[in-house]
Amino acid sequence: MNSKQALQTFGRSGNPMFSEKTFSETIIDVNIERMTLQGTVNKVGLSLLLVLLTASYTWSQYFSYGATAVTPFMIGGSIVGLIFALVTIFKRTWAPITAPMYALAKGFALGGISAMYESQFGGITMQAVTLTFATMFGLLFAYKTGIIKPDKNFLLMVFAGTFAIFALYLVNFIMMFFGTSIGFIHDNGLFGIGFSLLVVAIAALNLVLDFDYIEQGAEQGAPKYLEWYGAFSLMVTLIWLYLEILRLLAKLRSR
Amino acid sequence: MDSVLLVILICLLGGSYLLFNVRANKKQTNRKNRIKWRHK
Repeated sequence: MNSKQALQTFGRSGNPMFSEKTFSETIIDVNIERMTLQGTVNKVGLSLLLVLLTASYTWSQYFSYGATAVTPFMIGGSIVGLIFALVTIFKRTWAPITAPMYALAKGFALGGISAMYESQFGGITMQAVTLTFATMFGLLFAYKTGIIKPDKNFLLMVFAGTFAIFALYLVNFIMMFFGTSIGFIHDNGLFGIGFSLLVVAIAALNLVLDFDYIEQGAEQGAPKYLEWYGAFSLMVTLIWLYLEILRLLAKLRSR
Repeated sequence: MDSVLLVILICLLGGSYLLFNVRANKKQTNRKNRIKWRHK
């Protein structure tokens, strides 16, 4: 209802709460573009294409000129990707710009890493990509049908698991500067494979939280820019899951 | 092997696209213990 229609319907009110501004503000609010499932899916698809675009560049560079040609892209892509990820997390309104930039930067790193694994274990990249999307499809089905119902306990469990893994990786990263590392992270023994399976499981459960965030945002009519934020959070989890599956397959193949 | 995986991958991507666009089941969305995400 616009201000003119409101005036005709209710007459001019002396109540200070009902000024002309009240209705005009309501109209502006109604006209804000809202988050939808379709919009978010399209943005996930676009982000995947952006990753594929830059990944194919470093992939082809690796097989044409060797590892030294792609190392700067891998390191640079990882660092720039981390910066864009942090900016997106702390400034969600910038997500329509920073989320595609994150996808482009991460693509450079992923292309190089995948090519390195591929040169050692032929066909591993395709297997890892297929397994990643198979996991996503399975969990998406489980979420949409209500087989998995994320609640606060689920969130706490996944958050604790994710935090523990990142703390472990951080300690491992620091230890690498002193010429050592946590053995079982890279070990291809049973314990190392068990650890990788656990990490893959926790990364996969993070997908459920992403689905719930996106579903709820679309239900509640969240602002449109959160479509990009939802797509970004899903991309972060998918990239993590892909890298962990790649590592798990490499451990299995190197036995 | 790779071509078989590619066909499976295309099917998975198509299936995920369709499934993603479907609203979740009511027993998923009408729960009292649902996580309340902050959408700002």
